[in-house]
Amino acid sequence: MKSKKSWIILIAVLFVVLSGFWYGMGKKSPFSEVLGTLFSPLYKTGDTFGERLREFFSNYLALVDLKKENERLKKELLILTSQLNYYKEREGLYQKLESFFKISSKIRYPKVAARIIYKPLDPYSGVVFIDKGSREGILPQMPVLAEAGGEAVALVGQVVEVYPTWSKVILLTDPSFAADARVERTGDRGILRGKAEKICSLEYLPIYSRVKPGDVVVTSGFDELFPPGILIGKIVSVSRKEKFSGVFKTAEVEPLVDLYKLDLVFVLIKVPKIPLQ
Amino acid sequence: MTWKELFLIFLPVSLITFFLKAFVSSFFLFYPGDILFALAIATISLVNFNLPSILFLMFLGLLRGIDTIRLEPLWMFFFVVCLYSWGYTKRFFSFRETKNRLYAWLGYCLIYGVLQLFIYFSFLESSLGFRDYFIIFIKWAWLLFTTYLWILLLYKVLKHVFQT
Repeated sequence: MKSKKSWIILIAVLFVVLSGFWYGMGKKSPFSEVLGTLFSPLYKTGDTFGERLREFFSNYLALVDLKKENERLKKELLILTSQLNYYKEREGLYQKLESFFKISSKIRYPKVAARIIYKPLDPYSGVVFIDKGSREGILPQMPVLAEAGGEAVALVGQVVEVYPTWSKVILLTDPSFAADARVERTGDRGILRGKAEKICSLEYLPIYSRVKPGDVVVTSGFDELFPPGILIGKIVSVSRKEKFSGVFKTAEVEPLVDLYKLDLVFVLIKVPKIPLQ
Repeated sequence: MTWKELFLIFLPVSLITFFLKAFVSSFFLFYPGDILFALAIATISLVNFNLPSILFLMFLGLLRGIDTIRLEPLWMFFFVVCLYSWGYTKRFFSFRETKNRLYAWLGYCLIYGVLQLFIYFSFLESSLGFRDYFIIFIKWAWLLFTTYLWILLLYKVLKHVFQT
């Protein structure tokens, strides 16, 4: 037993001495080499795994940052797009206003631009609400105009009820609307009335009148409500109604402005000469 | 109708209906029928004649009358009369039966249609031809048909909300 122990100690000392020589010659530790040889696959695996994991986390964190950045940019894009749309809309509005004021320069009354805020589309009336009221100087009976095809301004109605921030406007087609009108070509006068349809009636035209479809109808100005010469519409048909014993002719007038698609109108600040009862 | 039902059910529904009316008109660009009148009829089919219901019907009449020129009081009065008359005729007809209720709604729609025509012709000063009368009839039929459909729909909705 003793000799066995001595042999082991001898071998160990020999191993240490030899490894010392080995280290002295090659500057390498045999323990490290053995351990390295044995464990290198493990190191490699661990290292690769760790590296991959670090890369993964680093990429993931970068992706998270990128995602945040992406979301921020998306939000910015959304805000910028909505701002762009807003400015486009404003530009459209300014173009409309510019165009309107250019083509309505002959009308000497001040004008207030207003937006339609509500169109009830009632089948038996023609009422719309606008977003301007008494604060802007609007009064009942004031004429309301709109742009017709970018080339002219035409009458679309009349203010009837005024509140501080909004007003009610009756359109040409409302049954209670009436205006003194004149056929531009012949000079014949008549009364324009609405009947809750797309077209209006021009009544009490003289029997000898030579009005025909296509003639332009304008305001005469004799009713003291509407300034003279404002476009209204075009005649689409002429008839002689028996109701008036054949003394008068009646024409049907199609308004120049599409009243269903109204969005921007202009109120003429013309103080009515005949006060509302 | 109780005060609680008025504030928690009927007023919110009426505001939603008013919004719906404005939205449908401006989105589809055609008249969608009288949704407020339909709501009034659906309401009177479910509630009794008392102060909250009178106030609610007056409020609906006011909303309905906004579309017109100085006719708000007329519509308020008409809606309250509808409420009262429903309660009165309930004594003679069983409105719990669906068939009777449908006929009653049709009757109210016709009365409403006649009132609409009366208002129209009282404002109208223009002379009309055959074509005009034909268009008026078509519009009238469309108005009553769509309004009747709204009554059916709103009654279903209100009844469901009312019972839950």
